[in-house]
Amino acid sequence: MTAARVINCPNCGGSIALKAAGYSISVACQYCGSELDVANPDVLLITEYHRAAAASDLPLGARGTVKGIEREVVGWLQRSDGEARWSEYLLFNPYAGYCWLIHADGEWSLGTMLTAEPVALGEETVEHEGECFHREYDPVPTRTDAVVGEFYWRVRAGDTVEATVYSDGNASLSWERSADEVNWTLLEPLPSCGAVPAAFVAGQAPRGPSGPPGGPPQFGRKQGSVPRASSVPATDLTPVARRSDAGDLSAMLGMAVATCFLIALVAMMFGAGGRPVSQGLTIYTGQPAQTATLATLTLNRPYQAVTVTARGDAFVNKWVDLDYRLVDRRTQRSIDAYGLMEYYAGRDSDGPWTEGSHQRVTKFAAVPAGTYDLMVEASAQNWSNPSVTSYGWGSASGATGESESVALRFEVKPGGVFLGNILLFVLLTFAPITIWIVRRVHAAAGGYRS
Amino acid sequence: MSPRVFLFGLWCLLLLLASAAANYYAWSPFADGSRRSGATIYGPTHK
Repeated sequence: MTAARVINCPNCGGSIALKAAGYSISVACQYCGSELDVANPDVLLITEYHRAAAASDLPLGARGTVKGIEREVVGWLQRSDGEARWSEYLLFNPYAGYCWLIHADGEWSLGTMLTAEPVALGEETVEHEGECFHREYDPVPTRTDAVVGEFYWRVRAGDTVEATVYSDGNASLSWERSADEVNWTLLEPLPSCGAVPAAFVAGQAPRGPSGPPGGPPQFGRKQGSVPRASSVPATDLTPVARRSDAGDLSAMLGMAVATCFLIALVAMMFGAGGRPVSQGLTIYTGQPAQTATLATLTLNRPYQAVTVTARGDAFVNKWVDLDYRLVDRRTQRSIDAYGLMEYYAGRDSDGPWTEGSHQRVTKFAAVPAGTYDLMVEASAQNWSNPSVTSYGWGSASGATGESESVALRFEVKPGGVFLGNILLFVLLTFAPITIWIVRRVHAAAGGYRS
Repeated sequence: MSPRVFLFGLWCLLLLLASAAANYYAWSPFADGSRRSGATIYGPTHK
């Protein structure tokens, strides 16, 4: 991949091949753990250690293809934050640069350093490439416990930074703040955990401080446990496709539409009732209310709606009060409902106008099973002055004394569909999507920018 | 399936079950039952 510079550890004498010579600043000897300054032509010993390197899954020098680019493991960090411990592998390609493989909780992810800082949308939300990421927890001290290999900055065991993670539900953004800088890294999940070690095979191992060529086991692996190959395996590690907001939105819209369809279907099924019963009644304006029994209904389902549709003849400037009473024959308890039918017409400076309808639908809800008599108490009034708007509050204000007939026809039907219910559930179904879209639009406009 | 899509699916399922329950009990906040006359505005109101 690139010509390696070989140095010897000043502490243990181990042979260390610098894979990113010219880029690397510090190296942690994979044999004794000593930290070396390789930015200086005379390799300096920063910190001397005499310990076995900790175990890791990928040996230094292992090569694999990530996102179609051959990369080599040049460094490894073991880090912890008090609750969890994980491994970070620094990968290098002389043309593509550095990236990270992170192994935490059995999951692998690919880390790409961000060159541009995500846009802060609020205290706990940032935006990166159109995706919103929400902070998962407050920043916690994160310590580097072990260092092996070469790095493009000075790193040593015991280094501590403040770190947290922002997530969009799929990918994550790692935020780290040290004394002098802030780093952002995009973490994209990689496919099944076994695929990553399988995709990396050991490269040419350097010679250790003693023993035969091939040296001591790297990263605690038993010698020979990692297949050595001169060629890079064909497996290409590609992050699991990120499910974009647009993808989620289309999925949610599809689910919402399907839910609304099912809600309407269920309402239609339960709303189906028996055969309608029709009954006529003629009333007169200005006269006392007339009472009539419209139908006798037998409701078999545990609970059912009852729909009463009243239609009037072509009356004008009149209203009809309809007081219904659904009386249970067994208990004589009644369920009351009220309907108002009104129709007005006139002419004013804007021309002719009409208001109201000659039809009124009244629905009873949650009527228990039983046999019921539906009675109506109907009264009609004339509205006196079409040229002047008149309001009455529970009285027939504006009514004239002339008595005119109003022919009514009632259709009574067990069952009924409450369109208001359907509309309510449709609104509730789309509410989360609407809120999400509004928040996105608001965020895109900088509304949450602090 | 991302967590938000999964949660939204649960939300849809919850609404579907609530809708089925409301239909089973023929319940609706928009029913005319139990309304009483006497508090109605008469006459045209469009002006």
